Amino acid sequence: MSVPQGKVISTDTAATSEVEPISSLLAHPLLQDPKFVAAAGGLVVLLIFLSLFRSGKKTSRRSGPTTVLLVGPSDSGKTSLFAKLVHNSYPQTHTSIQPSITTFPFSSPFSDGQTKPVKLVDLPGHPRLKDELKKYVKEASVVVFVIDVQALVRNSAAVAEEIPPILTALSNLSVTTQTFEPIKVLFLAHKTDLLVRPTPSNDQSPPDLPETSLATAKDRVKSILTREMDKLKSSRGGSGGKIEGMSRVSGSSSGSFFSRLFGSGSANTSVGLGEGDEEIDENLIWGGKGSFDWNDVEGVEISFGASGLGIPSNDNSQKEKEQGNGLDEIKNFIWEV
Amino acid sequence: MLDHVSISHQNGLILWSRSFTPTFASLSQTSASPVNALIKEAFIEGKARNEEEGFEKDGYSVRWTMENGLGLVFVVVFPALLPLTYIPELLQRTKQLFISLFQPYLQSLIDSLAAGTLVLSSASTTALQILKNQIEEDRWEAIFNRCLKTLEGTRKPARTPVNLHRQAQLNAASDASSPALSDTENTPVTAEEIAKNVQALKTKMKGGRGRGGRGGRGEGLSPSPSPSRKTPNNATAKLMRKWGDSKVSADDMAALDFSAPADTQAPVETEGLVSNDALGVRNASGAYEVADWDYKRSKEDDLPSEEEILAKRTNNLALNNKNEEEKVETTAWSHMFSRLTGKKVLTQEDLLPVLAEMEKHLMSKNVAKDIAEKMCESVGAALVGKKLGGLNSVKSEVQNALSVSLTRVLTPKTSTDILLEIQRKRSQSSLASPDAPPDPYALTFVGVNGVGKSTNLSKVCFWLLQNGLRVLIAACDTFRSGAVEQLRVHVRNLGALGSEMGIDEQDGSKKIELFERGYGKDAAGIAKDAIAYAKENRFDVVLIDTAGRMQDNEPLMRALAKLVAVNNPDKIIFVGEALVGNEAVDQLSKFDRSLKDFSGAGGVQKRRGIDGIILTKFDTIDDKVGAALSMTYVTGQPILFVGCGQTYTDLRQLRVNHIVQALLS
Repeated sequence: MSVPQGKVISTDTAATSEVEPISSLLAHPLLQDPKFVAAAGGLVVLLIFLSLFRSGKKTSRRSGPTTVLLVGPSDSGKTSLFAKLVHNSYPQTHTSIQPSITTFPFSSPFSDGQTKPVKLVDLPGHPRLKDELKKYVKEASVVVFVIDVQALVRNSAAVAEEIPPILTALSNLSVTTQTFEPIKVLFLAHKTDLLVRPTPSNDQSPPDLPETSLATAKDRVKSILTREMDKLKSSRGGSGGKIEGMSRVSGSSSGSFFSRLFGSGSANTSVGLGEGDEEIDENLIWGGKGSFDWNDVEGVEISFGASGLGIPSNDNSQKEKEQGNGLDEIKNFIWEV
Repeated sequence: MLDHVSISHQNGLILWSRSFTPTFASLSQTSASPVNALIKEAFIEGKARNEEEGFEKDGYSVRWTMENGLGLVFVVVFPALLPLTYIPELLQRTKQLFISLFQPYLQSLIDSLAAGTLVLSSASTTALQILKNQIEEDRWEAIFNRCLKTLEGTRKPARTPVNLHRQAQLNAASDASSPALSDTENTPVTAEEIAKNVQALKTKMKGGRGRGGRGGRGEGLSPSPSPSRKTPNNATAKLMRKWGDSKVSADDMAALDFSAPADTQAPVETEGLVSNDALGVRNASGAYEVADWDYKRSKEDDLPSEEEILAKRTNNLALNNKNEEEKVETTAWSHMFSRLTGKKVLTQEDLLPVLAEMEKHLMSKNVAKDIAEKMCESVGAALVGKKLGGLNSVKSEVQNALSVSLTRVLTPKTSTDILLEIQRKRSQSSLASPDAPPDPYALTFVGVNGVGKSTNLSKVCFWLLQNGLRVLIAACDTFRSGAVEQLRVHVRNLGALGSEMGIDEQDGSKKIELFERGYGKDAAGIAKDAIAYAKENRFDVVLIDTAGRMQDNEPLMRALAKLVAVNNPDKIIFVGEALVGNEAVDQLSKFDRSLKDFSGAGGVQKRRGIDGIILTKFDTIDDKVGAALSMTYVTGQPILFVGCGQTYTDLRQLRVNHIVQALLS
């Protein structure tokens, strides 16, 4: 060791561990200068610190288990679906206030004993809680938009209006992150069992649904939503004047230097999305001229499915119910991701 | 008497519920159930967070209590007409019992629901099943029923002594009127004697009933009434004196033993027993109690008593307390440590100073006082009992929760896309009658004087013109001098701008026109004419400018309501200035109220209130954006636009998180 001990001791330990092994390079005059060594060591520590900090802040959606978001309007059956998929039970539900997030071993729909970890997020559907979506959309690799197929006839306009914000967020995400596989979105016609006449018996959960009614439900959802999206496109996708969003409120610059450096700090975690996300471009989802086409949405692959859970069993009988095909489509969809 | 009880988690899963009436059972399955209404209107909109006040919906009263640590909601629904006084106690006791019975199972379920990246084992995916099994196993239903019955029982004696007392008074009066029977000295002796006899009679009565009903189990169970119940006995003793015998023979007793009056007396007594003897003696006295109710009576014998259940919990708590005491004795470091490990549970005392500070802060941002108070109150209610995790201070926790609830209030719950609505309405009416010209979309601007109704109307008009719509402006401000002229200038300007920017008339019809009938006329009539004119000339949108008025001026408010009732505009937009502080609440609520009250007089029409808000003069307020919060909180309606300058392009859409940031900075 040709390094004079006194000089190295004055620097950071992190620097020494890097410097020590390469004894030939240590002869360089710059390294003999304690000031330089101290500065270099400091720099290394700073870089390590910053990189740690950065990596902590940005979580890639590709890392970790497949993330499945359950979104859609209130009362469409998201929480029931969640409970059925995760807990394999079917309780009654109220309107949700909080999202439920869970990572669980998702067993293969082909009953071959295979499982894979799936992170399932059930988001509340109430319009006032739309903001929750922003927190989770970044990690989403699959989005299931749950629709009450029976209620859709009445509230199609309201349901359709919830679609563009979600698609816009996903499409922007997929374009900006430059991933090659598109994010998959499934429009799930839920409660299909209500379309089946006569009502399927209650001894199966999920019930066995005939192929025809599944197809009907899918067609119904697709045609109604396409019609509504077409309307939305003609009113929004046009080149007419748009009202900009207001700029930042003056005088509300976010705190001190440190609070800006260390993320948005404590005060506004729900707000800390950065300003770039404010003016997200809706044009990505509307495609070219003409009527709306689901294939035009950039970076998002859209498909349709149908499912049904039957009537919630009020009795707490623990007998294993026969599994019908009511949930096969969504299970396959999640499995294949 | 109750309709429905449910225990659910905040994420929507119902852990246990029971409907007591079949109608409610079917109602609770639908999305229109009062419990859902409670969650939507009270919890999500941040209103009526006060547990004492409760919530009423469709003739049902809903009371609830929250357990924030576990995120549980306990709800009881009962008919609104019934003043049930024991509900708060029932909720509290149910909460205590449920949590102490199922704490470990609940915890694993809730952990599994909030597990972010942690992969669950297959064991915890069945947490819900296990909990359900456990609920079944511990016969929660029976425990709950007993709890309910006890509380219903305790309520009754509160009323019965009054009755008996009155009866006794009546008897005393009749005694006084007929002095023949006995003198006052004699009374104590006879009363005592008779009391004894009555007791003997009762044992016989009960024994008989027991033999008749349940195979002679009653003999061993003859209860000794507790001393506190001597008073009603004395009263009945006086009642007995009417027959005036010093000695009661067996025949007399037999004569008295007709079953009908005995039955009317008996239920009162038995219910008194349940309440007076605490639950320890319950098994002995409960035997014929239960005979009247058919809820799993065979099982009830071996139910753990409420005290046992709670004792389990208090044991745990005692352990915790001991630990905590030890910790307090050690240094502040261990306190810090307990925080780091997420053991600190927020209490009302922790929160109060921080909440007061936040309230002041909000008020300094020009939020109306009541609203700031209510917001902080609801945030506080949602935080008590939560565990403080990580390094978070109480303050940052409160700030986070406040930011979440501010975002909730400000996020619109209805569509704010006016262009879409215009298109929808026109396509609908053209579908309905393809030959006639489609109905125009009518927007009415209301507000107090000088807030910028006409100015912002012209800005909206400019935006509509840019989107290729034909707009008619109806000058319904027939009061202020210069109002019509002001609009005429706007129309001229916008027309000129339109031709400059290339959106000119194609087939000779103007893109924008003013409809005016001068001053002093009836505004409702002018608006009606304007809409008819617009329909005739195929205008897309009618913008109705009304005269400014103070919210307390009833004749003017009636006139406005008439305009609304006659024309039924598609949107009623309240224009309010962002400068306003406490007044915002008053203005908006009174406009909303009087519109609803006066325009709904016909009854046939749906009552109309404010549909949306335009916040003006936003460029003048710096970061004191409180009015935005006050206004959305009062009506729950969205802020459609923000006016921020003098030119036609100075119209913006509200960005919720900018407002939230400004409010919290």
